[in-house]
Amino acid sequence: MFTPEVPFLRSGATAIPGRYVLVFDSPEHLDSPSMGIRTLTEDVPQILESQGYGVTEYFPRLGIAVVSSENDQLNEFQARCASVRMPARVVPEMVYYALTEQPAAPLPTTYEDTDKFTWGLQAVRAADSKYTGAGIKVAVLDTGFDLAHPDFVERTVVSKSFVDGEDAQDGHGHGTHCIGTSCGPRTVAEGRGYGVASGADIYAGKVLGSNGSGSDATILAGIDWALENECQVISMSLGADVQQVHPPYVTAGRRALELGSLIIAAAGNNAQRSQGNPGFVGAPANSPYIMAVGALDNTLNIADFSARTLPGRGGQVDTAGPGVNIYSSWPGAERYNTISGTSMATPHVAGIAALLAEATGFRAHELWAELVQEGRRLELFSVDVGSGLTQAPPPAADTGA
Amino acid sequence: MNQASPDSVSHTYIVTVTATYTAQMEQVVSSLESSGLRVNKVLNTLGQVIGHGNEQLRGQLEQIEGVQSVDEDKVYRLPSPKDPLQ
Repeated sequence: MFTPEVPFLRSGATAIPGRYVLVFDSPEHLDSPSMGIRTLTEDVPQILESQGYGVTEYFPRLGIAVVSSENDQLNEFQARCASVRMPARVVPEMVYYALTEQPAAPLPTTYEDTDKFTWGLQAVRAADSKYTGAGIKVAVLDTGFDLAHPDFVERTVVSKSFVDGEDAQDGHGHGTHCIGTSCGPRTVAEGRGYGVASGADIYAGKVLGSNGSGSDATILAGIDWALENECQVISMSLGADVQQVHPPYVTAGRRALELGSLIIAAAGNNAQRSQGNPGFVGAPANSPYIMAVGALDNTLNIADFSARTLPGRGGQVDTAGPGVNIYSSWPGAERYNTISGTSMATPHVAGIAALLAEATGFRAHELWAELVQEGRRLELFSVDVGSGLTQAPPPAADTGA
Repeated sequence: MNQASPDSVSHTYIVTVTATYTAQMEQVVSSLESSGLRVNKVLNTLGQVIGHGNEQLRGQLEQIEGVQSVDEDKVYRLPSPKDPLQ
């Protein structure tokens, strides 16, 4: 009595009586590493027909036939194949059922700050991620950093000012806020955690003065410094409301990618959507090799001010992050501040980039692709949110420990 | 804003060096200097040179071998720290 090979699947699939799958290939790939095209297109149909099998369900590219057969007919067929040294395996045809895996619980669509975490940290799922960006260098090019901020005393912080006559100390607040979101702590003694990549090394480049103003000369010098220091992620919450792509940033973005780094920039706050003006992605985020970030509110809707994709290469909003009522670090006695902008969405994405860089080892273009692929899709226009809400990497398989 | 005539106003330029010339930055920088660019900073990793000079200089710099583009330095401004929208 012929006994087909034991099905390799022991789960939901069941065998169909009298139906078999014939596989024309050597299981060990020793004698015939792959059967020639001629064998598969000419010899196999011939041997099938001489056994009385139809060839309508023979797939020559796969070398697989599905046949209806009696048991003794199968024995005869196998003997026939053996006599011409044609390796053939026989397995029952199975019926498959859709996997009955439990669907993932739907994710919330509204978030609020809690005693433990900001809404942004929860929404990007960094609050409980096992990844912290450890070993990843994140450069934040902005107004500097409050180097005396108590939440960062034990952190690795490298700072440098590119603004004439000013040290790296933040005299504005914007830079300290952005560094807080991208690289700040997830747990704070008094108050809620607000930082995505809480284990990353911080490179605080001051490219905007304490008056909030800077130019290409300081910003490009900051990018150059970040690349020199091999920062894998460069966060730039700055821009101008101009539609023209500014050539120096095309080169800067491309060089960064070539050197294993990724520049992430704010799409811009020039929209007034409630007034019918969707705005446009400004420079430098509209450069083709720089990732542009839009801003979401805590109901995961597009922020009123968040700029829309600008037609043309590089003008896309690539992804989105929390950018309305974002609580983070602030210089001096205030210590914390809650503000809004694509400037606040950008460091959320930069922090997630650090987590993904740690989790996957991906850099540059691959890291860009990973950020986009892992984004949580939203029922919003892609011209506004790109690939959706940026997401922390899922934890590695639970070991049950 | 500065109201002086274009000739006398000093412009800051970003000179981007063609990728194939970035291995010879010193050479390109000295050509730029010979043409009258007063170099503030050389960004070796990016292959860019920041310098300043008058308005006419831009056209001359663009002709130099190894120069990909010459762009005016743009200014970026954040809102005041008190503004809730950043």
